[in-house]
Amino acid sequence: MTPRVRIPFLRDPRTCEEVRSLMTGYLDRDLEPASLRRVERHVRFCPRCRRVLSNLRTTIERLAHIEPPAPAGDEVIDRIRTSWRDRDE
Amino acid sequence: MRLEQDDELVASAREGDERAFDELVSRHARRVYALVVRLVVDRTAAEDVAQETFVRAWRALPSFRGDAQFSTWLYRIAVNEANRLLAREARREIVSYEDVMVQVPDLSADVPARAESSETRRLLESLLAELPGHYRAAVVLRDVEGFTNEEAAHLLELDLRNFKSRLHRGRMVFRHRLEDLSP
Repeated sequence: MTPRVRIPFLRDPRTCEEVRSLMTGYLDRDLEPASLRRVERHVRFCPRCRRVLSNLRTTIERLAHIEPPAPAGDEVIDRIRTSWRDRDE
Repeated sequence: MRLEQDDELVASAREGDERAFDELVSRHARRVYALVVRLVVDRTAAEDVAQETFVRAWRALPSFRGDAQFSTWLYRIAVNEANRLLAREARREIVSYEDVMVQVPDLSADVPARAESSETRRLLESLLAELPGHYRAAVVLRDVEGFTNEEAAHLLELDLRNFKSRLHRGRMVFRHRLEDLSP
Protein backbone atom coordinates (compact mmCIF):
# COMPACT_ATOMS: atom_id res chain seq x y z
CA MET A 1 0.00 0.00 0.00
CA THR A 2 1.39 3.39 -0.95
CA PRO A 3 1.84 5.69 1.98
CA ARG A 4 -0.50 8.64 2.07
CA VAL A 5 1.19 11.84 1.01
CA ARG A 6 0.28 14.70 3.20
CA ILE A 7 -0.65 17.71 1.07
CA PRO A 8 -0.06 21.01 2.82
CA PHE A 9 -3.28 22.87 3.41
CA LEU A 10 -3.18 25.95 1.23
CA ARG A 11 -5.12 28.89 2.47
CA ASP A 12 -6.64 31.31 0.05
CA PRO A 13 -5.20 34.74 0.93
CA ARG A 14 -8.50 36.32 -0.09
CA THR A 15 -10.20 34.45 2.73
CA CYS A 16 -7.62 35.80 5.17
CA GLU A 17 -8.23 39.32 3.90
CA GLU A 18 -11.97 38.96 4.25
CA VAL A 19 -11.68 37.57 7.74
CA ARG A 20 -9.26 40.30 8.81
CA SER A 21 -11.69 42.93 7.58
CA LEU A 22 -14.17 41.54 10.12
CA MET A 23 -11.79 41.60 13.08
CA THR A 24 -12.68 45.02 14.48
CA GLY A 25 -16.34 44.02 14.38
CA TYR A 26 -15.44 40.71 16.00
CA LEU A 27 -13.57 42.31 18.89
CA ASP A 28 -16.29 44.93 19.38
CA ARG A 29 -18.91 42.14 19.37
CA ASP A 30 -20.54 43.95 16.51
CA LEU A 31 -20.97 41.17 13.95
CA GLU A 32 -23.81 39.01 12.78
CA PRO A 33 -23.60 35.52 14.33
CA ALA A 34 -22.66 33.98 10.98
CA SER A 35 -19.72 36.38 10.53
CA LEU A 36 -18.70 35.86 14.13
CA ARG A 37 -18.54 32.10 13.58
CA ARG A 38 -16.66 32.63 10.33
CA VAL A 39 -13.90 34.54 12.12
CA GLU A 40 -13.71 31.94 14.88
CA ARG A 41 -13.62 29.05 12.45
CA HIS A 42 -10.94 30.66 10.32
CA VAL A 43 -8.57 31.67 13.11
CA ARG A 44 -8.77 28.16 14.54
CA PHE A 45 -6.94 26.88 11.48
CA CYS A 46 -4.97 29.93 10.32
CA PRO A 47 -2.11 30.76 12.69
CA ARG A 48 -1.30 34.05 10.95
CA CYS A 49 -4.80 35.40 11.27
CA ARG A 50 -4.98 34.06 14.83
CA ARG A 51 -1.88 36.11 15.61
CA VAL A 52 -3.27 39.19 13.86
CA LEU A 53 -6.47 38.93 15.89
CA SER A 54 -4.52 38.56 19.10
CA ASN A 55 -2.29 41.50 18.20
CA LEU A 56 -5.27 43.64 17.28
CA ARG A 57 -6.76 42.90 20.70
CA THR A 58 -3.46 43.87 22.34
CA THR A 59 -3.30 47.03 20.24
CA ILE A 60 -6.75 48.15 21.37
CA GLU A 61 -5.84 47.46 25.00
CA ARG A 62 -2.70 49.54 24.63
CA LEU A 63 -4.56 52.41 23.02
CA ALA A 64 -6.94 52.46 25.97
CA HIS A 65 -3.99 52.93 28.31
CA ILE A 66 -2.28 55.77 26.50
CA GLU A 67 -1.95 58.57 28.99
CA PRO A 68 -3.70 61.88 28.44
CA PRO A 69 -1.59 64.65 26.94
CA ALA A 70 -0.10 67.22 29.28
CA PRO A 71 -3.03 69.44 30.27
CA ALA A 72 -3.37 72.95 28.97
CA GLY A 73 -1.66 75.44 31.22
CA ASP A 74 -3.54 78.40 32.66
CA GLU A 75 -1.96 80.68 30.08
CA VAL A 76 -3.42 78.53 27.27
CA ILE A 77 -6.87 78.70 28.82
CA ASP A 78 -6.49 82.47 29.25
CA ARG A 79 -5.61 82.84 25.59
CA ILE A 80 -8.64 80.76 24.56
CA ARG A 81 -10.90 82.99 26.68
CA THR A 82 -9.26 86.17 25.41
CA SER A 83 -9.59 85.02 21.84
CA TRP A 84 -13.33 84.56 22.31
CA ARG A 85 -13.74 87.90 24.09
CA ASP A 86 -11.78 89.73 21.37
CA ARG A 87 -13.57 88.03 18.48
CA ASP A 88 -14.69 90.04 15.45
CA GLU A 89 -18.47 90.16 15.31
CA MET B 1 -23.67 80.29 45.79
CA ARG B 2 -25.41 77.78 43.53
CA LEU B 3 -23.41 76.58 40.58
CA GLU B 4 -25.43 77.03 37.42
CA GLN B 5 -25.86 73.99 35.21
CA ASP B 6 -24.56 74.03 31.64
CA ASP B 7 -28.07 74.17 30.20
CA GLU B 8 -28.92 77.21 32.33
CA LEU B 9 -25.77 78.95 31.16
CA VAL B 10 -26.52 77.98 27.57
CA ALA B 11 -30.02 79.43 27.88
CA SER B 12 -28.60 82.70 29.19
CA ALA B 13 -25.86 82.78 26.56
CA ARG B 14 -28.47 82.27 23.83
CA GLU B 15 -30.07 85.48 25.11
CA GLY B 16 -26.74 87.22 24.54
CA ASP B 17 -25.36 86.90 28.08
CA GLU B 18 -21.60 86.95 27.46
CA ARG B 19 -20.81 86.28 31.11
CA ALA B 20 -22.68 82.99 30.90
CA PHE B 21 -20.78 81.94 27.79
CA ASP B 22 -17.51 83.00 29.37
CA GLU B 23 -18.28 80.57 32.20
CA LEU B 24 -18.95 77.82 29.64
CA VAL B 25 -15.59 78.55 28.01
CA SER B 26 -13.89 78.27 31.40
CA ARG B 27 -15.59 74.97 32.12
CA HIS B 28 -14.93 73.28 28.80
CA ALA B 29 -11.70 74.79 27.46
CA ARG B 30 -9.38 72.22 29.03
CA ARG B 31 -11.37 69.24 27.82
CA VAL B 32 -11.73 70.69 24.33
CA TYR B 33 -8.02 71.43 24.18
CA ALA B 34 -7.12 67.93 25.41
CA LEU B 35 -9.30 66.34 22.74
CA VAL B 36 -8.00 68.57 19.97
CA VAL B 37 -4.35 68.09 20.85
CA ARG B 38 -4.88 64.35 20.38
CA LEU B 39 -6.28 64.95 16.93
CA VAL B 40 -3.90 67.54 15.55
CA VAL B 41 -0.85 66.62 17.71
CA ASP B 42 0.83 70.03 17.50
CA ARG B 43 0.06 72.00 20.67
CA THR B 44 0.15 75.42 19.01
CA ALA B 45 -2.22 74.23 16.29
CA ALA B 46 -4.43 72.70 18.98
CA GLU B 47 -4.64 76.04 20.76
CA ASP B 48 -5.69 77.75 17.52
CA VAL B 49 -8.33 75.10 16.94
CA ALA B 50 -9.64 75.40 20.51
CA GLN B 51 -9.85 79.19 20.15
CA GLU B 52 -11.72 78.90 16.87
CA THR B 53 -14.04 76.29 18.39
CA PHE B 54 -15.38 78.69 21.02
CA VAL B 55 -15.72 81.58 18.60
CA ARG B 56 -17.71 79.36 16.26
CA ALA B 57 -19.73 77.93 19.12
CA TRP B 58 -20.75 81.43 20.24
CA ARG B 59 -21.84 82.33 16.72
CA ALA B 60 -23.69 79.04 16.25
CA LEU B 61 -25.37 79.12 19.64
CA PRO B 62 -28.76 80.24 18.24
CA SER B 63 -28.83 77.01 16.22
CA PHE B 64 -28.12 74.82 19.28
CA ARG B 65 -31.43 73.13 19.95
CA GLY B 66 -30.49 71.39 23.15
CA ASP B 67 -31.29 67.88 21.93
CA ALA B 68 -27.69 66.89 22.66
CA GLN B 69 -25.55 67.86 25.62
CA PHE B 70 -23.78 71.17 25.19
CA SER B 71 -20.43 69.40 25.61
CA THR B 72 -21.22 66.93 22.80
CA TRP B 73 -22.26 69.78 20.52
CA LEU B 74 -19.07 71.62 21.40
CA TYR B 75 -16.87 68.57 20.75
CA ARG B 76 -18.45 68.19 17.36
CA ILE B 77 -17.46 71.74 16.47
CA ALA B 78 -13.96 71.08 17.83
CA VAL B 79 -13.55 67.85 15.86
CA ASN B 80 -14.85 69.60 12.77
CA GLU B 81 -12.33 72.41 13.21
CA ALA B 82 -9.52 69.90 13.79
CA ASN B 83 -10.53 68.04 10.65
CA ARG B 84 -10.51 71.25 8.62
CA LEU B 85 -6.97 71.85 9.75
CA LEU B 86 -5.94 68.26 9.04
CA ALA B 87 -7.63 68.33 5.64
CA ARG B 88 -5.45 71.25 4.64
CA GLU B 89 -2.38 69.21 5.54
CA ALA B 90 -3.70 65.82 4.54
CA ARG B 91 -2.41 63.58 1.96
CA ARG B 92 -5.21 61.09 1.98
CA GLU B 93 -2.75 58.34 1.25
CA ILE B 94 -3.78 54.74 1.29
CA VAL B 95 -1.66 53.16 3.98
CA SER B 96 -0.82 49.59 3.40
CA TYR B 97 -1.01 47.48 6.52
CA GLU B 98 -1.36 43.98 5.31
CA ASP B 99 0.32 41.23 3.51
CA VAL B 100 -1.68 38.27 4.64
CA MET B 101 1.10 35.83 3.87
CA VAL B 102 3.87 37.35 5.99
CA GLN B 103 4.84 36.11 9.42
CA VAL B 104 3.34 38.09 12.27
CA PRO B 105 5.21 38.65 15.55
CA ASP B 106 3.37 38.16 18.82
CA LEU B 107 2.65 41.48 20.54
CA SER B 108 1.28 39.83 23.65
CA ALA B 109 4.76 38.48 24.33
CA ASP B 110 5.93 42.05 24.95
CA VAL B 111 5.57 43.84 28.26
CA PRO B 112 1.91 43.96 29.32
CA ALA B 113 0.16 47.27 28.66
CA ARG B 114 -0.27 48.23 32.30
CA ALA B 115 3.37 47.80 33.11
CA GLU B 116 4.75 49.75 30.21
CA SER B 117 7.82 51.84 30.72
CA SER B 118 7.75 55.55 30.07
CA GLU B 119 9.84 54.86 26.98
CA THR B 120 7.19 52.48 25.62
CA ARG B 121 4.47 54.98 26.42
CA ARG B 122 6.33 57.65 24.47
CA LEU B 123 6.67 55.21 21.60
CA LEU B 124 2.92 54.56 21.58
CA GLU B 125 2.29 58.31 21.65
CA SER B 126 4.54 58.88 18.68
CA LEU B 127 3.01 55.99 16.72
CA LEU B 128 -0.39 57.49 17.33
CA ALA B 129 0.83 60.91 16.25
CA GLU B 130 2.21 59.43 13.03
CA LEU B 131 -1.07 57.84 12.00
CA PRO B 132 -2.69 59.64 9.08
CA GLY B 133 -5.12 62.21 10.50
CA HIS B 134 -8.33 60.56 9.29
CA TYR B 135 -7.37 57.26 10.93
CA ARG B 136 -6.03 58.95 14.03
CA ALA B 137 -9.31 60.77 14.61
CA ALA B 138 -11.29 57.54 14.55
CA VAL B 139 -8.85 55.66 16.78
CA VAL B 140 -8.47 58.51 19.26
CA LEU B 141 -12.20 59.06 19.69
CA ARG B 142 -13.08 55.38 19.99
CA ASP B 143 -10.10 53.70 21.65
CA VAL B 144 -8.28 56.45 23.50
CA GLU B 145 -11.16 58.74 24.52
CA GLY B 146 -13.67 55.93 24.91
CA PHE B 147 -16.58 57.29 22.87
CA THR B 148 -18.98 54.71 21.46
CA ASN B 149 -19.02 54.02 17.73
CA GLU B 150 -22.21 56.03 17.40
CA GLU B 151 -20.86 59.01 19.36
CA ALA B 152 -17.56 59.04 17.47
CA ALA B 153 -19.31 58.76 14.11
CA HIS B 154 -21.54 61.67 15.11
CA LEU B 155 -18.53 63.78 16.14
CA LEU B 156 -16.79 63.05 12.85
CA GLU B 157 -19.98 63.58 10.83
CA LEU B 158 -19.62 60.15 9.28
CA ASP B 159 -22.25 57.52 8.86
CA LEU B 160 -21.72 54.55 11.15
CA ARG B 161 -20.56 52.21 8.42
CA ASN B 162 -17.90 54.62 7.18
CA PHE B 163 -16.77 55.30 10.71
CA LYS B 164 -16.34 51.60 11.49
CA SER B 165 -14.39 51.09 8.31
CA ARG B 166 -12.07 53.97 9.15
CA LEU B 167 -11.67 52.75 12.71
CA HIS B 168 -10.76 49.28 11.51
CA ARG B 169 -8.14 50.56 9.08
CA GLY B 170 -6.70 52.89 11.72
CA ARG B 171 -6.44 50.07 14.26
CA MET B 172 -4.86 47.76 11.71
CA VAL B 173 -2.28 50.35 10.64
CA PHE B 174 -1.42 50.99 14.30
CA ARG B 175 -1.16 47.25 14.96
CA HIS B 176 1.06 46.76 11.93
CA ARG B 177 3.41 49.53 13.02
CA LEU B 178 3.58 48.06 16.51
CA GLU B 179 4.47 44.70 14.99
CA ASP B 180 7.22 46.32 12.93
CA LEU B 181 8.79 47.53 16.16
CA SER B 182 8.43 44.24 17.91
CA PRO B 183 11.70 42.38 18.45
